[in-house]
Amino acid sequence: MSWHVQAPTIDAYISGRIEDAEAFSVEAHVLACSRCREALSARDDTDRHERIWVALRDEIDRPRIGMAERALTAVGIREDIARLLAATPMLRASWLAAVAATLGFAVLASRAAGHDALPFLALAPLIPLAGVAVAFGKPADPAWELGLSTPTGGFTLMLIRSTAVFAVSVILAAVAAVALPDAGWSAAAWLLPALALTVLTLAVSSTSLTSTTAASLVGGAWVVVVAVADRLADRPLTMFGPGAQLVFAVITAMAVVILLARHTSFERPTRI
Amino acid sequence: MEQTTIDLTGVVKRFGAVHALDGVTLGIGPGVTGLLGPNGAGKTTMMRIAATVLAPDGGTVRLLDRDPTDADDRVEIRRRLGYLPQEPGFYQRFTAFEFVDYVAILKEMSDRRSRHEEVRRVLEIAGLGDVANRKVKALSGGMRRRLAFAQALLRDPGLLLLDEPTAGLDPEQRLRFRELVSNLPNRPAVLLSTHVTEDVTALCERVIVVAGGTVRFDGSTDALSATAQGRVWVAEAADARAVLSWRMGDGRHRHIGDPPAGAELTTPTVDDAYLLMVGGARDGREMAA
Repeated sequence: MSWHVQAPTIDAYISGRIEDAEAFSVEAHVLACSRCREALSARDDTDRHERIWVALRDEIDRPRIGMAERALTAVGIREDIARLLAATPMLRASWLAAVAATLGFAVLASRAAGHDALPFLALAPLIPLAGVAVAFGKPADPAWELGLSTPTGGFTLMLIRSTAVFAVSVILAAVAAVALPDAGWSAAAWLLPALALTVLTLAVSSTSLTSTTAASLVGGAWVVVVAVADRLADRPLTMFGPGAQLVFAVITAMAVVILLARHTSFERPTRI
Repeated sequence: MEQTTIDLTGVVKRFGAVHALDGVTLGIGPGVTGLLGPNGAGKTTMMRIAATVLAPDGGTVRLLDRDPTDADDRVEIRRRLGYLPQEPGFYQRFTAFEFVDYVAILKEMSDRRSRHEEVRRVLEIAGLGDVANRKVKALSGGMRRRLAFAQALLRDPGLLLLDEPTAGLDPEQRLRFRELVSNLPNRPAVLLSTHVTEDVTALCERVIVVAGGTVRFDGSTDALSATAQGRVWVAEAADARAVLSWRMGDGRHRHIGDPPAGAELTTPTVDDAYLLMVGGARDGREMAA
């Protein structure tokens, strides 16, 4: 064969900066000419091929993604975080429907109770509590033990899931609160109690209690305190007034301190 | 590679009044090590401590030459750890691919493409490439077992902990599993717990027998069989003096224990030695654990 691919042409071909017609003639030539084939493959960037192949394979072979994950990525959540969240029961359609129905009833009860927001305010903080109870740990999460043996499956995973559960709860409750009869300051008075109860549940579950037990204890105490306060106080909604909100802020802060101090118990527990 | 990958010194773990581990000291290095013991012997507790998911009550633990009580060291250990728990839980709604992908994310693989490549690789090794997109709830028991095994291989761990990996597998699957473990790429240190002696003879260079929360034996499988030398005999009839005896297929009886004078001694197996070792150890405490 008298004609061979010249070095500058090989460079152009390897780098991809080559006219189509010239590229075709190089390809046609190397099929027949072993000398040029070797010259070309010696200069070739196999890493680049590997990257292209992996990318191509991933596009073709990309697994179907579940509905929850698609919804999460649609609102801008990273796909890997979405996968971690997809295993959280609260983010399933059935849970969301149950939560929406519960909040709806609470709004109706508040309307029926003569424009008193108490039923709604008492119930809304329990929503994230229920979600957090089954978001991590044994026995709620079947793959918890396996996760613990990984770098991020302990405290980090617990925080990611709890944050998501809280955020979704707040969004749903905020939507429901719009339908409250007297949408004054009290329409938002559940927010700080919700945060306080959620963080408190996490702090309590840093003991040997499970997350479900911790949530039951905190939720139970909440119901009792609200009921008692409603009876004893002379003004309605004392439990949600400015003074009480300050108390909830303090509880939240204290629970955060406990949680951080005891974070190892989410990483390497003494019981499993 | 480190000389020892698991170093336990005087490790104690109690659950209430039960001593699950009662001062265990051992060092485990490269190769396949079998952890053999009856149910409730403390095997799973030992595996959990080695997997950094359970803190002991006493003693010191070093894993991959690092300290699991230190937060940074613990993360480093977990980066190089593959763990198959005794009861691996699954998210039933996930597909096989999604489940392994989930664990890969927890193992800090944030780049989607390279992560998916790695997930496909381990699914292939475990022979699950064809069912990758099937939901976990639609997989057979043996397939789930292999799925749990596949995730443990992510990122080529330096230490592979397999807690009862052959439980519930049929004979063919068990052979397949042995093949998988002996052909692992990069030959990680493997600690494999089982109560099946054949797994140990087939796979393990070294065997550790635990019973009642303590180490009863530590050595090669040949050395384990040798501990029953002169204590296994065959006779025509049953013998009440034996610790254990059973009728074999040919109608004769195999006995282990202290043989009567003139007994026809036979070559002990790992089974004989193991039974002799733990047979006398079955006290109430152990059964309770």
